[in-house]
Amino acid sequence: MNERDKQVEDFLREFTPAQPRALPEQPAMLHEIREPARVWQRRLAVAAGIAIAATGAAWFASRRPVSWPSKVVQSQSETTQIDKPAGKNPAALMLTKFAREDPARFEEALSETTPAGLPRFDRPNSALHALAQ
Amino acid sequence: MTQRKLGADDVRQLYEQHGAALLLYARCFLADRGLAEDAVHQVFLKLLHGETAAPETPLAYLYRAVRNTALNARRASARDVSLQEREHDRWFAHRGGNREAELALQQALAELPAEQREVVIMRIWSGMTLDEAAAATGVPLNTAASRYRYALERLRQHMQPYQKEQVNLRNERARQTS
Repeated sequence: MNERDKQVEDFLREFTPAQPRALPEQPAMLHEIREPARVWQRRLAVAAGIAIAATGAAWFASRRPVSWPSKVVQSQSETTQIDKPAGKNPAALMLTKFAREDPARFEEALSETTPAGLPRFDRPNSALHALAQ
Repeated sequence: MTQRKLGADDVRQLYEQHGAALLLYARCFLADRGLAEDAVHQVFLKLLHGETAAPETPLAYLYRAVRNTALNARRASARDVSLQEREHDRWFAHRGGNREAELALQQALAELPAEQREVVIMRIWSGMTLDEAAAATGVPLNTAASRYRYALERLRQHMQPYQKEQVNLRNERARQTS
């Protein structure tokens, strides 16, 4: 290397490249590298917590059908028994009311509603008509 | 090549000594200073976290890793840096505070072919020998030496006015003191 190159090198060394920003401090991460056992302990603890929660949930779910469903079924059947006539036949409700409050009126209403409810035998083509003859 | 893990103190010391030159190197690939810094940080943080086992010649490894990381970042980033941003973004600080010379050197370095530029940065601002630079760039010593000579000649031509100015200033000061 000649003298001229040396001078250029020296001149170039008068220029300092800009410094980068400081490296981020991450003591926690470095700590984890030095002590990987602690990381595994933490992971094990989390896994154990999840296992306990899952077991508890499974046990709770297996208990529920023994004590609760009969009541649920019973209450459902009661509801349907009560709701069915009321919803489908309003005349039956009225008859029940008359039967409780006014027996004379009940008789009247019953005789009015029964012919419409029972099958008719006075039609010439009906099976009941033929049987009656 | 034998490999060992660098201690955190070793890594931080390398960063103190060569961070600036590596940033300069990264900026030859990435126009955005922030991205270049991120590339350098990424390499050093990998070493700090023990994700990478550094070879016996950590400096050569650092240059290779910074180049790869910077090239990946350049592919991923579509951001273009404006001319104004580039002018405000100083690559160098001149000891005598010659801002014009700083920009001239920045331009001269940017205009060098990549293979010449890397040898110059390694040699001048990281203090590597030509042997080490050749090993880091994976070329024979003669190739590295000739690349260095060509680069130095180009830089000399580009920086000659400022260099003369500097010499004149020194002579002037010497005359005044005597």
